Amino acid sequence: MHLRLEELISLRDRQPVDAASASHAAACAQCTAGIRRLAALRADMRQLPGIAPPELWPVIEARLGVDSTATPQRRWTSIAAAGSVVALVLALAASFPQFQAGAPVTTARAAGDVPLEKLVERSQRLETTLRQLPQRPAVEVAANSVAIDALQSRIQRLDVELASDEAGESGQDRQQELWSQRVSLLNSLFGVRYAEAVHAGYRATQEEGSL
Amino acid sequence: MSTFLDINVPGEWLQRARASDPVAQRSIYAALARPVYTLLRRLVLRPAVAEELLQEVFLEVLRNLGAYTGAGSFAGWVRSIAVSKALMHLRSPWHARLLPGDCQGAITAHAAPPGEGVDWGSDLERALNELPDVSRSIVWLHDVEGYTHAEIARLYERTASFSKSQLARAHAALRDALEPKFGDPECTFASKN
Ligand SMILES: [Zn+2]
Repeated sequence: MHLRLEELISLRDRQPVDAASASHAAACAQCTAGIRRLAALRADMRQLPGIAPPELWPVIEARLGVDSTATPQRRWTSIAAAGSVVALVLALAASFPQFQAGAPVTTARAAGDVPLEKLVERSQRLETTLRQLPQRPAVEVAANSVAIDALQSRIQRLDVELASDEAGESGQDRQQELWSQRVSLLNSLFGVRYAEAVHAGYRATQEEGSL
Repeated sequence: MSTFLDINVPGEWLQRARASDPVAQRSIYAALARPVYTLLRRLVLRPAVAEELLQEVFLEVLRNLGAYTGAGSFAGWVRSIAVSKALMHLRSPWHARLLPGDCQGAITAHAAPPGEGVDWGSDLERALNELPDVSRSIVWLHDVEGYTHAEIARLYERTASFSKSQLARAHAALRDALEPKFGDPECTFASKN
């Protein structure tokens, strides 16, 4: 009986295997060849060429410029950047009608109202938008942090349930309910982060402007 | 081995970057952007996602330089942030629902610049791209980046045997994709996973 792939990988990596497997490998040409192939494949993967990123430094630098630790010579850049944060947040919010004009966060409609694919798509858009919000301010408001942590951990718990049922065995209704809850939680999370970011952005503009 | 291990970022850059020196910040980015982006592309495949994650990695790195304690290499610290962000993306449930066509050719179209491309590389990249997210990321982290099964287990909140069996699955699939002629019934590759 030849060795299993897992054992061959362990032997390639010089990890311990049981004595019988080790002595089989030492005496078996096929298993030895298998170990050699695994090592060759690993070498091939390590030699794959690197991939050059597009020029993203200007974007990163602009986003860093919002950092309140900017040195004096960079303050003018910061003033412009703080203004652009407010603009960015407002622009992001504009893509979600429920956040326009400081409207309160709305809860998702009843799960059955919205098709599953739409819920997934909305979830995806909200997540993308959340990622585009500026980093949380260096001085965090404790109440915001608590709310954000609570929302994130609820989303995580939903994700565990969704991930454990990728095949949708729990049925359409349950899937719809879970995704609806997810959209609702993401909405709330966006609401808190949005309010916080606008507040921080305006504050930065005022502070920098008064220098 | 991982290209991250070859990168030495001078301590002076870190000191200056901590004081928000833009030249030092840019130097750190220039030294690490390519390996970080390559790693992200291998893990998440889609260029647009990798670009967004690249920004997030460097924002986190440059804003939190104080959190780097000096234990282990700086490049290794940056790599751990990149891995964590990529896995967070892969765990996102909507990611699993993207149409398969969304990723096709994502790497093969850009990976090998003219003149540097070699046939086995393209085949191998295509085979890697076709693996499911979990086995692809695990084979890359283990075989290329040198993560141990224990480290991978912690990242995925699973056991070391989960990591081992996913690695074996990845190798079985790569073997099938790269060596279609290899069809004799020897159980050398008869993974029971
Ligand atoms: Zn054998």
